[in-house]
Formats: sequence, structure tokens, C-alpha cells
Amino acid sequence: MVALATTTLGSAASTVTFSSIPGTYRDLRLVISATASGGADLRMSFNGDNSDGNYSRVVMSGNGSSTFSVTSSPRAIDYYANATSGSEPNVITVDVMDYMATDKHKTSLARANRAGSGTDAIALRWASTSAVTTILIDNANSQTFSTGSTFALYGIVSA
Amino acid sequence: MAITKIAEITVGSGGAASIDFTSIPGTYTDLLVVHSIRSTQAIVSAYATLTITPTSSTYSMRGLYGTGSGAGSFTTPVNYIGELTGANATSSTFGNGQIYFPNYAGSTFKSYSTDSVGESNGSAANQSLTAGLWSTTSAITGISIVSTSGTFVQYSSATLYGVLKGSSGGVVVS
Repeated sequence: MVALATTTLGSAASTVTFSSIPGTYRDLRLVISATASGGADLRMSFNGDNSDGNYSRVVMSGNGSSTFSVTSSPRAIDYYANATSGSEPNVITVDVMDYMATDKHKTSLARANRAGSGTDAIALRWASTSAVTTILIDNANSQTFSTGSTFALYGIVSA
Repeated sequence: MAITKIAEITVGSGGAASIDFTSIPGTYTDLLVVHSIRSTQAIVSAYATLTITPTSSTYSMRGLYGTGSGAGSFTTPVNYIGELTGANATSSTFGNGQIYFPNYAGSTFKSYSTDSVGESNGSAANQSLTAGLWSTTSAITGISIVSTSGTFVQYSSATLYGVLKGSSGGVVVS
């Protein structure tokens, strides 16, 4: 696994974008540790495509007392374990499989965690056969990511 | 490479009540523990708890589990870190799991996530996902996986990796 890019926010930001992603890896891993100005459901978009109609997801989630499975908010990479303004960041890892393939839609697996709210496992699909060159992280609630939030991108090399 | 093995521990013939990583350097960004453990507890799926050094009792957790016949969500024990295989599971079978600690050396509270399964060829093999929090601003210098009943059998193992952030390949962040 190779570290490709990372940022620790020095000031609040509403989006984080990874661009010019090289095509020399097999899979990508995104690791996020974030707080926000308020409750924020993080979203992931590829190559500037922010149309929900081009994405789908299925969520498995637990909040400590109940379990949930939903398919709403197709670009979201969390459900119960969203980012908040408290001292506990939500921690999200996203694996984007075979991101350079041009013969398949792009599948991602996300795990979102925040002990104060819940834990989520999410499978996502971007209905495009384009290679992924840009990843944008924003949120569905018009909140900003707080200073100190970290976003890191890694490339996983095939054998 | 972004991921480096820091230490690997394999339980010897006498068994062990815990697997302990100590003197963890603060030079990485995140930590990853991968474990494969079987317990002497007379049950199919056992579980383990976590002790972080410097020691404190400020843990909290929310988890999601499946048993093969049902699912549920839970919040205790607060330092639960995963399912193991117990003595009543299929022989020669060990559980597997991982624990991820982002920003473990930073000055904020430490969130972590776990994914684990107590393997067995039959019913009542549990799988769990959890979100954990160690509400301490100290850097993590030690991690112990602790048996809750019985001991870990010989050949149980855990490996500690350091993940280092960086930049290469011209990726731009904005």
C-alpha cells in the first residue's frame, strides 16, 4: 500500500478533493477522521459526477440498540456514524475496488464508525465504466469539516 | 510502503491470557492490528476486550452483530474488540479480525473500528462490527487483546502494523 495524498485541515472546509489520481494501482483506500460544524452525512463522488441517479448503495447499521438496513442517499459513506461537532470524530475507511477498470462499474466498501452513535457497513456502486481520476468528499447537510479533520488516500498495488 | 509491520506475537504452548503490544512508536499515522485467536472458553464464539496504554477506563462502543440466525446491536462491554473462536467450535479453527486506530499518536480522543468473526463450521458463529472510542487525548503506546474467560490457545496470533500517510504520484488535495 502506497500513501498517495493526505490533508489535515488547517481551517474549516466544505469539501476535500483528491485529483490527478494515477492509474498505476489496483485499488484505492480512503481513510477519514472528521468532525464537522454540525451533523454531517459524508458523501463521495467520482470524477465530478454528483448525480445521485448514477449511484446506489446498501447499508447495514447498528446504533447500540437497533439494527438497520437502508438504500437511501446513494452517495453517502456513513449512516448512523455521521460526523458531528463533538470531540469524537467519525472514522471512515473506503475501499474502491479496481478503480481503473473500464469494463465494469465501480464498487466500493465503506466502514463508518462513531462510538457515540453507531457503526455502519456500506456497499456502494458508481454506475460508470470510467476510470476514477478524482474523488470528492462533501456532506449532505451544508456543514463544514472542522479544523484538524484528516483525509488520506492510499493506492494498493496488484501482485 | 505506507504499511509496515511493527510486531508479531504468536502464543506459545502454555497459552496466554492476553496478547500485548508495548512500546509502540509514535512515528506512524494509524495503527492496524490483525488477529487470529482461539480461546479455551467452552463456547463456540467467544470475545475479547481491549486495554490501551496509558491505562484509563474511558471506553465506549457501539456494535452490530450477526449470528447466522439473527442480528442485533450492542454497547457493552465498553472495551469489546471482537469475536474469537471458542473451545466448542470446529477443531483447528481460529477466529479472525482486525482493529484500526487512525491518528493514534495525536492529541484528540481516539476512535477505532473493529471487524471480526468467530469461525466455526456450523451454527452460532458470530460476526461483529464495532465503533469504539478511547476518550483520552494521550497517544497510544500499548495495545492488549485480553481474554474474558479462559486463555488464548497456542498458535493464536496478532500482528501490529503502522500505516504512514504521505504523498506521492502527483495526487492533488484541495
